[in-house]
Amino acid sequence: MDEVKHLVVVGNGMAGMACVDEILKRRPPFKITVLSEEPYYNYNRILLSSVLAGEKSVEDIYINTKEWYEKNNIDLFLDCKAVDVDAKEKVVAAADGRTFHYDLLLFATGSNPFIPPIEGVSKEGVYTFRNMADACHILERCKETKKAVVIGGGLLGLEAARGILSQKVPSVAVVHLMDRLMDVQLDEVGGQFLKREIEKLGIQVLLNKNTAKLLGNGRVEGVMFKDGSIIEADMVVIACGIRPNVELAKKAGLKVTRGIEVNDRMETSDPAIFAIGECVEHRGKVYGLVAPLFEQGKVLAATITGEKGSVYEGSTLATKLKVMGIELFSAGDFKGEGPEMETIAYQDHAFGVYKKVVVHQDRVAGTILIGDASDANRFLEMIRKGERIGEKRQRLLFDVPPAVPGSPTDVMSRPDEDTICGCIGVTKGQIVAAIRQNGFKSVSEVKACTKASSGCGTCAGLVQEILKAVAGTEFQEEKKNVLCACVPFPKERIRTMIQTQRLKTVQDVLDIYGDGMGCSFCKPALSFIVDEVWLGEHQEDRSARFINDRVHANIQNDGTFSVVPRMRGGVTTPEELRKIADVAEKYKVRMVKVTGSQRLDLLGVKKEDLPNIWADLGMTSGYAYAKAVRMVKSCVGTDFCRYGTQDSISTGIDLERLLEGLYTPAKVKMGVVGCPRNCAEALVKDIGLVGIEGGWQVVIGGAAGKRVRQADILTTVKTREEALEAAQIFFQYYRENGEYIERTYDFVERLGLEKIRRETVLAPEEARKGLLERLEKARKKVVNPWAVESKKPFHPMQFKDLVLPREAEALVV
Amino acid sequence: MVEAVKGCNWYPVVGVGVIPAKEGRRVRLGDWEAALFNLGGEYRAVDGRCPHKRGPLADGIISGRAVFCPLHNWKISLENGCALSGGKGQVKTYPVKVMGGKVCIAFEEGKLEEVEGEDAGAFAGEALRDVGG
Repeated sequence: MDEVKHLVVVGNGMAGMACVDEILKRRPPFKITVLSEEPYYNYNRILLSSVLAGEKSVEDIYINTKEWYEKNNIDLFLDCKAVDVDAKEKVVAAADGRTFHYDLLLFATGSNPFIPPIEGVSKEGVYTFRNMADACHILERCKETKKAVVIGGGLLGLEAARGILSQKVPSVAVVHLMDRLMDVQLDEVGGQFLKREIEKLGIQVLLNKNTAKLLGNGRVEGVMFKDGSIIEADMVVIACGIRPNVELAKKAGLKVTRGIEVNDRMETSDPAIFAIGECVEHRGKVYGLVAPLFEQGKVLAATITGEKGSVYEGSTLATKLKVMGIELFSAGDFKGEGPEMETIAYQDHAFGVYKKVVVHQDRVAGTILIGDASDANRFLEMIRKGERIGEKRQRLLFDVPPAVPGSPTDVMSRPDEDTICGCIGVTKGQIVAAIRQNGFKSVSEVKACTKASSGCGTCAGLVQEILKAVAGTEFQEEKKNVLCACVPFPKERIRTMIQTQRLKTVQDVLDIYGDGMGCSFCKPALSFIVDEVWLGEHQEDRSARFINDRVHANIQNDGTFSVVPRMRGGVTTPEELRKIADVAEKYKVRMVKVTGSQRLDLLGVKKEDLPNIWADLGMTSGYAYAKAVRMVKSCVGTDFCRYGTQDSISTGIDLERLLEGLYTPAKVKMGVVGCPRNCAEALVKDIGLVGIEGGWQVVIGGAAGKRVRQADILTTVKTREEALEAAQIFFQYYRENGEYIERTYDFVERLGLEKIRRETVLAPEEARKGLLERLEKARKKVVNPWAVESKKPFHPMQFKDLVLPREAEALVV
Repeated sequence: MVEAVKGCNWYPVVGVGVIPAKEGRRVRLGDWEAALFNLGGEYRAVDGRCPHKRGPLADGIISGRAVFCPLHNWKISLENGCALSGGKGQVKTYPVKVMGGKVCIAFEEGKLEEVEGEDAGAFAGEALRDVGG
């Protein structure tokens, strides 16, 4: 029997672990040890820019967790930098003095940021942007930064600049040595298009700027260029490209030019040592992108497990810019300047769309797509395959008609060999086969198996569409569920995204993070979120609201509406009752019903009568139609009841006045009872105040709806003022942290009572004050929509049908 | 200037810009009703009621070129009237055109007379119901 060999992997990045993953698939008789210089599990380096932009958290971008290493018996040493290799003795030495004997050694050391030889780079406030620690440092620094300068207008520099802008740094500039941004990936025209798009985001772009030195006394204060000009900066990020990290390979005596030299089997000059990823040089090329890693990983896994045969022949270079709001793709020979090179191009300056395809001898050689990169995979595939285009040439740029909004874009009608995931190179056929063979139901299963969408992630939507089509009703939404298929981002990130990107309308969110259209779920959801995030200072778009919120009444099964005036605490007066009776008669209301919320409902009202009814009633909207504060039920308490211990009526009315008119993730029903007999059912309300001898219990998360749940005690206090304050603190906390349509009873169970207590009533003074201040600010924006819109509807024709006269004449026959 | 559709009568319904973008309004002619939508400069008209349980489509939320019925969330295409989700069904679509600053809907020829006939019937029905109630 073969002895168990020991494979030591230096580097815990995407390349190394992608290769280990491939090796594991072959069940090798290896003991695997991984040495990681960084103190993190393997994460998706491409998505660091998303972390910086606030779209993803650090946890979101882990590719492999602790469990993965354990399950596969991999010994992982974090924070363990390899500093020396003795190739003769086959020993790797780490900085902390530990040594590791190997039979096979894999270099996946990646690359280091290139820092140009400029004076002052060691000043405080100067960062590189390469790894998780960099991202975290920059994020931290952004909080106190007024002016940020990014040196380097390449892919990474632009993504860093956008990220910093998202962190509310008021001024962000990108300076670039060359005459155009992303000069490695774009031609002159493309550079101009990109510059405009970047400037539109609010980022200043300075070209042809050669940095001379960084100014400042200890702390960076500015950047000086060789032409003598100066730009102020209190943070500088250097993103001037990367260099293969080959230091260790040199010590091991490997043949190194720019990178570690490998052959088509990914073997180095030492038979026991292999290398992969950004640290290698293959056929004179060094790759700094993700797709080649996976291609190399497959070949290397075959080589290292003794299945020599498959070879790596190099990759087509393709780049996607991951800056929200800008689509950019570049691949292959995009310049088209050589002999027999022809260019087919389309430019739309107003829309910022630039499409260019370079054709060489009837084959697509390269492309640049800006503003609309939907054809990226199609062209990439054509470049990779090198097939003749022939007649296709005439409609090369617009082969696929633009997707018709509202119609299901049919990814299933594409041929099997179409590439879906351009990063990893996974075809539609492979995804379909994987789903069928394994009975996958969720996107994460498909992703784990095929790796599709594990690169930049932009194809995740397509993968989901394929899964939905193949799995049909078996399809399962991800556990970590996204807001909606239209806006496929985790719910808990949406608020941050809206905040950091300063999005004030639903349509902005849909345009930047979604499909531009939205649906009946996400439009109202986003309406709530933008309203809540901006405390009512958003830009209201009624078309994104459910009909109830457009006409401030509840739609009924026949298309008529119901009207429920506010009746605080369930207390009314003869005068109010008289008005309600008069209105009911005047407008021939079909039914007047006492509701479960201690108020009166006028049912069967025509839409066009609503404004007049409101005017006649002169009462406040009860919001019985909205995901908002509904009511406070109360018992008669000490006013009348012989058992009452507290004044539940006035407390209930006060609580209702404090919170009425505010929107919430889901409806909020409240109750105040004067003693624990619970006559007004406060113990099954979202928020309840229960009077006890000498004080109040504040209870939350109760329900008597689809579920019945007894409320939990949030806190017990002495005075009614304290009780009202605790209720308000929890209320605002729920507004800020509840997911859309999540009732408090689910919310309390999801977060846990302890956490909620810790972050509300037991939170530090400042945090509690913050919640109350934000609530106050939102409260100031509340209006009684009935009073306002009975006089002046949001749209002049909001409540009117378009009635054609009987004698409507034909305009044209 | 205006292209006539054979067998259709174009009725001016409402001024351009009166219906807010991405909203719909109910159009009534006697007892007959349609839902007219402004998709953002482009207009579409379909029968006013959802094929499922007669929900008022004009009150729905628009998603691209489709509308979600406000009652039970059926998704109806505004291109061909087909139910895209919820269940099977289809509503009639009507040609819409902007002419002389007005959004016009084309009814089939003879629709006006037909409407009057239907209207009379419906009125009779209403009267009967009153007696019964």
